[in-house]
Amino acid sequence: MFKQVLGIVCGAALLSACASNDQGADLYGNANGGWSDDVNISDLSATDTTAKFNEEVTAVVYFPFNSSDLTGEAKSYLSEQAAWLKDNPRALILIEGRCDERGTREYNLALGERRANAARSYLVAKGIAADRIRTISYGKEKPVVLGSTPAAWAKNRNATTVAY
Amino acid sequence: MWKKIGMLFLILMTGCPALGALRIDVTGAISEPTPVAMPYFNASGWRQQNIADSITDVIAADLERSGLFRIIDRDAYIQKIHSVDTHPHFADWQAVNAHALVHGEINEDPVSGELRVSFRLWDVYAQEQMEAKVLSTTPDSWRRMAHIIADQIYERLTGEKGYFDTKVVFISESGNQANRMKRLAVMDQDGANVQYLTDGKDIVLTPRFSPNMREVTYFSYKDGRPKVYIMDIVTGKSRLVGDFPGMTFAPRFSPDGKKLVMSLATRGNSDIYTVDLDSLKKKRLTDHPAIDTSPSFSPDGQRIVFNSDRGGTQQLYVMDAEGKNVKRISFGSGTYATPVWSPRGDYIAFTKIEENQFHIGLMRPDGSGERLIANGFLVEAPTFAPNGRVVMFFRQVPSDERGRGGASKLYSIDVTGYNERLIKTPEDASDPTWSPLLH
Repeated sequence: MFKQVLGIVCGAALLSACASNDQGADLYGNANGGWSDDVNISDLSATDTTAKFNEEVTAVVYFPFNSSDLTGEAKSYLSEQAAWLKDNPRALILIEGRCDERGTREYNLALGERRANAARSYLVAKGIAADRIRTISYGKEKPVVLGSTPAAWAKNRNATTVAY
Repeated sequence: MWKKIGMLFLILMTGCPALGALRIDVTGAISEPTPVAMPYFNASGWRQQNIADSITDVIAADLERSGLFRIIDRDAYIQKIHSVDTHPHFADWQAVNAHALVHGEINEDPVSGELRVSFRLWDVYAQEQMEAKVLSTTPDSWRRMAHIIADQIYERLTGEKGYFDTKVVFISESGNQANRMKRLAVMDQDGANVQYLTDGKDIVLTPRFSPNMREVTYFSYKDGRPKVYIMDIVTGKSRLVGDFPGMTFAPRFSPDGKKLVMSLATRGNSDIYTVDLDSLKKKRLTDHPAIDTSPSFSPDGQRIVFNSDRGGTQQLYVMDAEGKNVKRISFGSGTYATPVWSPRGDYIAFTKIEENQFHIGLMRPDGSGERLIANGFLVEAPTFAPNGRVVMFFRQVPSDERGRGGASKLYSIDVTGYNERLIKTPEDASDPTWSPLLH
């Protein structure tokens, strides 16, 4: 159960340039984390899966301030993700929940977890097996967009799906 | 790193300290700092005098940073003090408006190399000795000796316990906001003696001391799993606290040190649990679909204050230690977070967010008497000095679109809302927790 997963790209830069990037291999080194104990991670080329997913669907959904409610737009992107996951039945995903810097650290860890799970629940409701999905909250720790501006904050209130 | 504590001892010198008439009121809002005369401690030999000067400077800095005392310019002193046994000419000290006089000397044991510091504290107007002690230790613990003497002076003059011989555990931050390095660090309360406890490989957050200060509990992304750990400060070894499915975070020790109280998130929902540190069995205290986090025990261990959005917005709630009798205590405008109970039991400090400004505030445990004592673009994570008279927190400034700026620094402020002071750290700093008194 402690198989190494290679080539996972850090979720932060997923939207575009990360296709050939190989950073963050360590990040999900332990497949036994979270509550999906029975996930058996295969030796599929993770980099290709991640890149393919990011090319074919929208990997990031955004949330309103202090909220984990899925917007209509978020639901449509997640529906695309669900369809893709059905077409790629060997792919597993990690959903990363994030918050802007305008909250307190511990509450934001909880809120990021709630955001990741809002996305997860939607995918499960769309028929994706729960044991293909892991979640992690980064709270306000790993901002995707830098700067103390409302635009940056909006981008950092997200759930980012990383396929591998 | 704490082993020298046992090597310090105190002896009362000849004569009982008199109950001086001089008494500084720590509860007063804006009062002028009390003028104190403190000549550099005496020593024989230039090397010893350097140590004596350094010790005197640390004592003076502690007293001045409290905001309650001002050291009178030494050029003004009339009487020359030659040793710890020099009897003051009180008229000379009254003439420079000194309310209190502190003087002392240091000696080195020629055989053991042990450093011995003796000092006397005088009430200049009552013309009475208030304190007289000898401390001895190894020479490398001279700063602790200075802090202990500052505590003795503070205690005699205010009637309150001191807080200078204490540590702060915090997160030392460096690098761009996009890829911030965060290390667990510990230092003296005045910012000296910073030591790093982790290497920065994993993001670590929210460290808190155990009551005996031998351990620190904290949150880490080690191995990509967001979990609560406990580090033994002496050995530097860390252990995962339980192997519960889901993220564990927001840990604090119970006052008896036997349990942690923390949040556990399962399927997106964060509830509060205690974990017995012997059996590692967890016990659920809250069971609510809302976020319940940031729990903090009352000093008697009977109650827990925590943060929840069960009412629709983030507010503060108090429950008993079994999770029963949940009662909301925050009712002002804005949202509330990061509550922490004062070691005195009289206040709960918190972070408040209102109209895009962050504040540090205080309220009584029943929610009454709310007042805000500090603010900024982002202020967070209040922690009390062990005497409950001073609060430390961190303040972060905005960053630009390239992640520059965003500096985060530690500050202390009196519970009165006055005397805010920057605590200098080698790097940026956040998430401070103040230790109990070491001596």
